[in-house]
Amino acid sequence: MADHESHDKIYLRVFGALCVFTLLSAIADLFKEASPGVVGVVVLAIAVAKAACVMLFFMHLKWERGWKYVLLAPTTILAIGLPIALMPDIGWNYYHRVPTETMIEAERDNSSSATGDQGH
Amino acid sequence: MGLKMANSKLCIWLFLGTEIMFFSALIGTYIVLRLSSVDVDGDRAWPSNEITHIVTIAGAINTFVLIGSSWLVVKAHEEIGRGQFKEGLRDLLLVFACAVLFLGIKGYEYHGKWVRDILPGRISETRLQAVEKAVRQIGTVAALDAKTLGGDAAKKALVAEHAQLETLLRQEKLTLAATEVRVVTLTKNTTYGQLIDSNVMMARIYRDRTRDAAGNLVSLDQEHHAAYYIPYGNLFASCYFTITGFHAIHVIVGMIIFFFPIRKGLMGGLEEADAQYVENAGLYWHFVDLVWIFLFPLIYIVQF
Repeated sequence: MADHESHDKIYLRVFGALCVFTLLSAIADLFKEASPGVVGVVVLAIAVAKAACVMLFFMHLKWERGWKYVLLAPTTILAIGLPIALMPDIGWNYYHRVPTETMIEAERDNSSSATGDQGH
Repeated sequence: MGLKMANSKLCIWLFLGTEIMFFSALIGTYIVLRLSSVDVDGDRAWPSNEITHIVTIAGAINTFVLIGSSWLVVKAHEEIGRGQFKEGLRDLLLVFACAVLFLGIKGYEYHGKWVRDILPGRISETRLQAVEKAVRQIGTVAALDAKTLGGDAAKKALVAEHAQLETLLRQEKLTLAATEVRVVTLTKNTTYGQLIDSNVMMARIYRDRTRDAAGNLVSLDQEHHAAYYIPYGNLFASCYFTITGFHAIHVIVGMIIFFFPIRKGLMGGLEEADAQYVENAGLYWHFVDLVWIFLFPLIYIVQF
């Protein structure tokens, strides 16, 4: 019974901590205009802390055995790998504007080579 | 041999492993697309919360709702495990109510975007697209029958106005500012003004813009008329509705999962063995909460 009560207390404390974290995120949002970079880092750090609370206590990972590493390590690696895999083609190149000068040069090159072809 | 845990729990965890990859693919893609959306100067150009009608307080309330429901699930699990079925049922019902509340708030947010046409593929991203959209929508109103428009004379005038706007558009002589003036003038028409107001999105956005103490319009952004076109707006809308939509579907699935023990409880049939089902359902529900914990800052707060 005492064990149950202690679990109940832990859950209540975790719930309280999660509420405080969410409140902190909402407060941080008020300072978004002043320093967006700092606020971004702070709210993401808060999100990681909240996720850790939910996983460790509500999902019982704190009390689970070693299988949790076998199951979660590959998925975490793949989850991190996907955005990294997307960066070269999508993140760095796809939406970046091709400098206007380069486009003009390319057009000029194309038209001059077309003229050259006609000359032959 | 084997793991010292219920097969059903192992299955749920394996399923959650696939879910982690599913949502991290969505969220990861969103981050990459957002980081790579730049303007002509190479600066970040993702549309702001004000322009896209992202309501931070709604997201924060929904975070509280999901966190509260997660806590109620672990409570219900403990209570059913120790034979306190009445309390367990009460908490499960509250979890279900939280899910309904979450979807209600999400529906309110979706409605705000729906009425402003902030939907994938429907957002003007340039000045020209904004002008074209306004002229097209005036054309839609002009195509209505004369009776709806308030008589033959009114219809004839509106058709003529639309034809003139189309001609100016084709000749590339129609600016965004001029279109705004024409649209606002049309909304003041005594016969079809109301139809223009409700069917032409430019009129709606014009009304949305705030006014200063003197009653003059204040633009939403540095640039005047910025609200009429949203660069990267369609990309934003696609990301927003895909990610939050899939999350909402998971909430609905959670409601279905919780429906069965609730029904059993209402008929007085809950037993201690059901604690395992509630634990598995809870694991799924916590994951849904976990996803939202990351979506809230990434969609509602972070400006990168």
